Amino acid sequence: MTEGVAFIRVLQPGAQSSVQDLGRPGYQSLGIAEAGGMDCYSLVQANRLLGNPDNAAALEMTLVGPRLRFQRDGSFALAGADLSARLGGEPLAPGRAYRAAAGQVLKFGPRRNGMRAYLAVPGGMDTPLVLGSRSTYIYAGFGGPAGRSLQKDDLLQCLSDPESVRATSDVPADLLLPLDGPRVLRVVIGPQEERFTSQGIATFLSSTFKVTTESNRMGYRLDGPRIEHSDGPIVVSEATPLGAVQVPGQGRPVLLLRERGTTGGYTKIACIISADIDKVGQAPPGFEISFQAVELDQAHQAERQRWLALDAWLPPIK
Amino acid sequence: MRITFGDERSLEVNRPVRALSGMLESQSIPGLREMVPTYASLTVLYDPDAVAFQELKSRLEEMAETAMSRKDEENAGRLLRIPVCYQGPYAPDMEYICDYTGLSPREVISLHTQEAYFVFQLGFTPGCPFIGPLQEQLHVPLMQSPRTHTPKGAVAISVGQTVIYPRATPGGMRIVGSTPVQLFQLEHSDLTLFKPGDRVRFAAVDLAEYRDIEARAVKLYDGVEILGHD
Repeated sequence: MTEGVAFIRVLQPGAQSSVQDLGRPGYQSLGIAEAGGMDCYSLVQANRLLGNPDNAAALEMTLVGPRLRFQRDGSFALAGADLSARLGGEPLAPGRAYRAAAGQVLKFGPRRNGMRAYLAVPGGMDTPLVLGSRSTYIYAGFGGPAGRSLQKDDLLQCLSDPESVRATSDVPADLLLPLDGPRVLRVVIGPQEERFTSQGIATFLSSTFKVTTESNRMGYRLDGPRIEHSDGPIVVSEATPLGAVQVPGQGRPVLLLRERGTTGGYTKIACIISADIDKVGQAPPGFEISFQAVELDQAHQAERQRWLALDAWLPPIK
Repeated sequence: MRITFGDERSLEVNRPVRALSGMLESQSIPGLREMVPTYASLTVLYDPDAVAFQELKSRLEEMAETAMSRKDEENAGRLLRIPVCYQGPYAPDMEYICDYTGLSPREVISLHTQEAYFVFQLGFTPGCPFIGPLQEQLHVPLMQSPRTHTPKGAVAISVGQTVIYPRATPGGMRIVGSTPVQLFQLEHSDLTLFKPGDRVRFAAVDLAEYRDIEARAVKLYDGVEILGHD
């Protein structure tokens, strides 16, 4: 691996900015969640804009973006949420690669769309590989720079020469993060659907829920009508897959996300399909979410299709 | 995909979970990405582009049958001796546990250190073991509202199980004691002190011993005795 090149200095860290790649699979049996980008589809777009491998580490910036100074000339790319990025006063749009001059400052302002923006750098961020991934597992304290989200004065290095990047076409509009609005998340019902009354399942599938402020990289708590259990909310503790929709005793859904506890003892009414999991990471508190049941093969098909669509724009680098 | 063998926390239900997980580890099944063994089920993460759901399902069902018919002996795992201080500030819920169970602190400690328990699963946070089954006399309910801060090393009990917190996190279980040993270390090739299938015996230590071990327990296994098979 090449020596990292100091590229960006953190002037202000923002609300929660962390280094993320596609995650750290393989360790859930030891209680280690996969972490990784909350919106991997946007993270991959940012990487492809620079000709990076899909799994290169990028910066995930949440609601309130950081203030970053470029230490030298070089390219970077933005994707995902629109947090009013500006480079030396010039407004920037998600889904594009840009060129910065040494000393220029990248700032963010009010949230305009989505919740998490991604910043890719040439070759990816050079933080230490931990169990095969550079993702920051914030709630366990490892990965990323020193096992945490960014702090003032962190110096971010990239793995390739920042000036050595070929230009690519912008991300096509239909692949970009859709504009803010109510989100329908497709789910596969189960595994504990029999622990809910038919009224409970109907409430889940026909109601609109709101994202609460108790929502982070571990999980999202939703507010809405009470989902009725038939036989209490407790099950013998078992694995909690990414996207599991857990319903504890108070009857409101909790979406289990990238840094969730890997096992849990509450009933799970459904699991969000892989193709829709990234939408959750882009829904800030107050957003409306509803659920639509699909079959497993539809879930697999949807996941295949969204990556084929991205490949049609620009295939992955091997 | 999840293969369930029952709905209780018992050795009988857990045995085929471990057997199946062992069988899958020793074979290479295309498309199989990750396995998470828990009390009563094995969750399998797979790549639907490498193996079709139905194909994997029938294969796992067949293997689950074999796993259920296996009569593996119980003591296959290691036996680890874990020092626990059940006194003073290290046992903030001892009074509650005694009130609830009608036992004296001495009886609680005696029961908790009496038999070798079993590590059913790891989960919640990195390296956090779920240990049991706990004797009926020690069954206490979860807290109504969980603590926002359960200290690192807290040994906590609730209905039927003991959990040890590898780092400070929120938690709703009743803290019976604390261990000074490390449960998770990224730099160690084992990563976690416990593996599903290990056996554990808790050993009571006083405050002075606790502090002594705490001062030298910097790495995984420091202060832990591996007794082998019991």
